[in-house]
Amino acid sequence: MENVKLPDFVSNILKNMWVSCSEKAAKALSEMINKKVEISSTSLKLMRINEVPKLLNPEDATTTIIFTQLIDPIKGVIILSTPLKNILKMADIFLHKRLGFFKDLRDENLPVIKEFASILTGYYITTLNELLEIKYRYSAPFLYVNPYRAIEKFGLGSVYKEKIYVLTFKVSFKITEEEIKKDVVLLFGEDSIKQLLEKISKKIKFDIE
Amino acid sequence: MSKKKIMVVDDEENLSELVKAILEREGFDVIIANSGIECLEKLKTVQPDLILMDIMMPIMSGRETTEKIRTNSKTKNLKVAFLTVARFSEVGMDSLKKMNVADYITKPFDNNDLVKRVKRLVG
Repeated sequence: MENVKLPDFVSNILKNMWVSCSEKAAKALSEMINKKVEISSTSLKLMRINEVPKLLNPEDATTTIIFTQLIDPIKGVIILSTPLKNILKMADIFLHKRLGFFKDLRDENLPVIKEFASILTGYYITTLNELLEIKYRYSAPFLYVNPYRAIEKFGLGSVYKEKIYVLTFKVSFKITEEEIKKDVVLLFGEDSIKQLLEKISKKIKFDIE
Repeated sequence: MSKKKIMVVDDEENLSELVKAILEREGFDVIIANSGIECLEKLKTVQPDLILMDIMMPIMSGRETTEKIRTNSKTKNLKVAFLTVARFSEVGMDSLKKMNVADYITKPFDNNDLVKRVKRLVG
């Protein structure tokens, strides 16, 4: 798996699929908060799962992760990752507070933060359902403040004991007006990558080697 | 004939008051609850014909409040409609349907449209 590289055209298909999900999520978010939301960058990488925290800005001790497990038919994880101050700003916006009102996670803002993550994730799941012609079963959102602990809970295996490879799609959203940045990462484990490619190949008729 | 009772559940008091004014003008009896917890408390003594519920609320979201309404034998059949800024995807809408939500009205709303939909829901 170390030397595996996806053919360029497959990478492009997957990346387009990911961008399509992200554009719908960005549009919905923009309508919800009545502010301009931009997609600032996207990337697709194959990596060991224990390297995933590097994608999630671990050097910032306040990085907050909210993830949803995609249970079946194709196992995966959708992660919303952002510094704590950014997710608190979202809670300020949704709860009609002045920006900076919330200083920490607490009972008052947690339901809204989880609901926000759930709404955003819904756009990715809906688009995946449409593109892959499947009907995903998925978990409720989980919140963690340590990316290294979060990856142990993804349900993709013993991350520090086994060599687990994952396909990662990362997109960065920016709400310029409020200086809010957040990343969404989609992960698929090894078995899921094959299933994913099989689904796509059926739609556009190419052979998987 | 007794007036139809509508309960508006929203942490944004200005908005609740606005909805109350619009619906009272149309002859409805409107009760306000400023949180999910207050809604559940008021439901112990009041049986509204319709609950207009915000989703993004502190402490207990509209979704959690609705789930609690559905698990109580006295309130499980109450009609709930969401009145919210949230824009749901198809998957998100499916999860609302599972809670037997009667309608989904997005903020900002058109006053006439709100009245029309409320009348349809309690008619």
